[in-house]
Amino acid sequence: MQKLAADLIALLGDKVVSTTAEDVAAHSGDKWFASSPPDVVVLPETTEQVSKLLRYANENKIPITPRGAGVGYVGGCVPLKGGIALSLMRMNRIKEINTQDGVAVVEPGVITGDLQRAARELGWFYPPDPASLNECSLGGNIATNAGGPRCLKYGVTKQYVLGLEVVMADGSIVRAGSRCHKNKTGFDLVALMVGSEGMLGVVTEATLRIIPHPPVRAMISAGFSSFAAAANAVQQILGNGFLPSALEIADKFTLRAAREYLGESVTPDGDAHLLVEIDGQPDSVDGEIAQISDLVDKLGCVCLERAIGDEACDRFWKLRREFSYSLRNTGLIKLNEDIVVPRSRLVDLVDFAEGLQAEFGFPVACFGHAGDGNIHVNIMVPNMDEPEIRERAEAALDRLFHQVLDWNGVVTGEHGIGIAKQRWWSDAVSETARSAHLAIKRALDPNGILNPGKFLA
Amino acid sequence: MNKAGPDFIAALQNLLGAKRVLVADEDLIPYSFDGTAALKQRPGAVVFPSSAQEVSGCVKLARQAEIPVVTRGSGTGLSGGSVPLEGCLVICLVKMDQIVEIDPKNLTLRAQCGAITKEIDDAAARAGLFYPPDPGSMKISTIGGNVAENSGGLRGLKYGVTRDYVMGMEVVLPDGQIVFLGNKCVKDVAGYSMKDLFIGSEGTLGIITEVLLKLLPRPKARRTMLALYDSMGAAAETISAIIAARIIPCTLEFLDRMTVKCVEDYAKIGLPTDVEALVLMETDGHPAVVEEEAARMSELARQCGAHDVRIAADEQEGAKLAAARRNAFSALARIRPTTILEDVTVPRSELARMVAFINESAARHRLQIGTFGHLGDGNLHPTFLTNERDKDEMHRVELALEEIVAETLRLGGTVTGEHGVGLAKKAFVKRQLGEGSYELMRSIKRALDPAGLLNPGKIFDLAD
Repeated sequence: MQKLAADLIALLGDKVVSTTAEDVAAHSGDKWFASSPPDVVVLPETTEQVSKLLRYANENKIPITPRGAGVGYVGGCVPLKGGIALSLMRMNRIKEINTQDGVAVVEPGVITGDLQRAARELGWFYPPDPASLNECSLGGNIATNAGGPRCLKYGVTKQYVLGLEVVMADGSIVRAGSRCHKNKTGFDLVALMVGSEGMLGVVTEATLRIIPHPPVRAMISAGFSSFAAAANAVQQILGNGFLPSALEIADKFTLRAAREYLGESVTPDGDAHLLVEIDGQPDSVDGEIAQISDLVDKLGCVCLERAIGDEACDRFWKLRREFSYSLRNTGLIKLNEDIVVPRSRLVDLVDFAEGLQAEFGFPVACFGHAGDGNIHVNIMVPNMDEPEIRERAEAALDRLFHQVLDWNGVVTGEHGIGIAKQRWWSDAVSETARSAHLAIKRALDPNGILNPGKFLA
Repeated sequence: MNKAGPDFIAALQNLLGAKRVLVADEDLIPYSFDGTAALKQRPGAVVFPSSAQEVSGCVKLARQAEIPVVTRGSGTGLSGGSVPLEGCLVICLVKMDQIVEIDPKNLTLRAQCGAITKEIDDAAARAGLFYPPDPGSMKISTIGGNVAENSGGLRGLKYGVTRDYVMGMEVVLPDGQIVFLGNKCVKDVAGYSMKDLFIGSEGTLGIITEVLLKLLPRPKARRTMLALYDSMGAAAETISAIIAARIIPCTLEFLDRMTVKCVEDYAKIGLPTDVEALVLMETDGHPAVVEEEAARMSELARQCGAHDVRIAADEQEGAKLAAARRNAFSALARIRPTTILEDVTVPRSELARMVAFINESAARHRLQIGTFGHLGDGNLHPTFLTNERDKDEMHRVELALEEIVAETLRLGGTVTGEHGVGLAKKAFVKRQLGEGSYELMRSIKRALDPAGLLNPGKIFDLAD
């Protein structure tokens, strides 16, 4: 271990290599509860350094776990096999924002929210907005193909990555894609890298697509007497030809927790809540939001509020985020599962969650992105230390994931597999597809040094 | 690798029945080429399977006999991607043409690979829905071919390309296994995005037998406009101005002087033939949005120097204006015996410069090149009007093409925005991708198709 650190210092200089207890602890895990210390932390500042590091690790078969800001929910950047934790957070420059070409060129350590703000100042827009946007890094977003509430209209991170500079396991530097908005020269290596959870290569630069910022937005916040009524409203809104930029739904348990935490007066009435956001040109936004209000009103909502303009909308979004904090405030551990079901199964899912609650004795809160069927099912457990509780929680998760898969849903819509969902990897993906994964992993990382011990172990 | 012999053909006939196996010389001719000029090779047999199981059966037989397999849809490709190898097996998928399901609740459509692109959008339209990708050949191209090539179209700027609409697919792998990748969920990050690897892989990694597509609510209104310019630079400026006004039109297409003239000669739409550039613009969506955006776009076009802007009064007139662009290729193709349609793409800001370069190159080499394409995404179609029998002229075509490719790459562009590499652009791939990307692609091919069975020699060679 001493030798490893000494070798790396000789290779890269002492400014970018650390073995202090503090650094090691800070690079042992993410937001999930698993943790495993690396032997050495490396914080490179250039692609060249990353390349040298990987060449060294590959030659000496040393495990290397790349990471961004470490705000993942599935333990994806936990250095399970020790070795090197490779943090890209010092490579944090926005190199270029070019509105003529509609691109931003960034290093992986740039915070997502910082890019959004920088683009916004020029009247442009980088849409992917995971909930952690003020903490998470773009490199992490790319490695996990992060989503967010605006995916229904704007898509996920993958749709915004035009080009990548990637350091491969053997240290070679590959430029995939370009700054062109259309490019189909050969296989889509960019799409292969996006969402590969640090197991195929290390992204050192990204060319991202940005789009003109819609000038105006408006929102509706509506309460319903039942989840089924709110889910029906989702179908009706889409069925009438509207494509909202966000459609967020929350269930009874979430609303109850919010009432406790925020108070009755602030929390909308009803046992289900729907948030609808529309953006675009001023006149059309005015027209569409009025039509959607009428529609939602006719469908029998129990309360309805409208917001026009950024400031008013931000207040609605703040409320939506407070829902999440309210759940935390219950004192329970939130096992936040980002499952996705085909949209037609929303009501079935919430009914199923109620059954789960009855069967396993844990409260279950559902809220999330109704528009794309990505619902965060939160199983609220007292702790994960007591074996009995942990087993019961895992049994509940088993039931949930198997049901979701039976409906042709997926076990992770935006968080990834990492360690947390490894147990369900072989249920979720067919044997043929898994062997194709392995064939690619072996071809690109024959020594298995990149993020070892994860779902392709 | 071998060529199809009598034993292999007998085994195919045993599997599919003699009617669905073509082996006679005269039957094989139509399957010797695709939409790409000057590329032809005779296959050993052409088969027409009607299910994924049958495709898998054919692949297994070919694997045993070590005979290369080339997959084919309607054969409208423009880079030689489905041109056979001498004596190979061609699996033609046009019989698998059913639209299997439309699911309005999840906004999805499931179709067999041989379904025609336009029929997919027509079926979606009957349910009030919309399948946006509209490659030029949409009336004859198959959806499987579109996915294998990741086809673009006229609406790419706002709606993206085929890739953006593929949620899942059934694929027959090189060892004959059948796998379904993807699902009806809008988000899915479980494992690598395997389906993305197959989209645009040009039949080199697997055979797509069924696709699950994303649909959108059908836009309620559409407005079409034509703007005429005295300079290409002014046309390109309009596009920047429109985007700076935060409008993303669904279509922003241009035709250069030469193309406009050919289109008018061919289609008699009533276009003036003395313009340097013609721009077709379309916006769609809710009626209020469309009115607002159309007014703003025509105003911006005038401000940027358009001397005439025509706004279609209704859908019918809109379709007539759009015909100018839809007819571009056919109009150019009738001028000379051979038409070579290129597909270079540059960052949007370099577009006017690239068009000027193409014109200079045409003059320098005494060639006729008409250029049209997608202004919004920088995707140009310089079209060489030439004669493949004239050796000297073909040599000059090669010189000009080489210059155009070099300039494209210098400007940070790509040699193919939507047609694919196939055979036609193979020579340029390594230069554009660089050693790293190129080797990476080859190692993926080796990992998934170790025997090199599927569409060998396309995109790249494995041994060099």
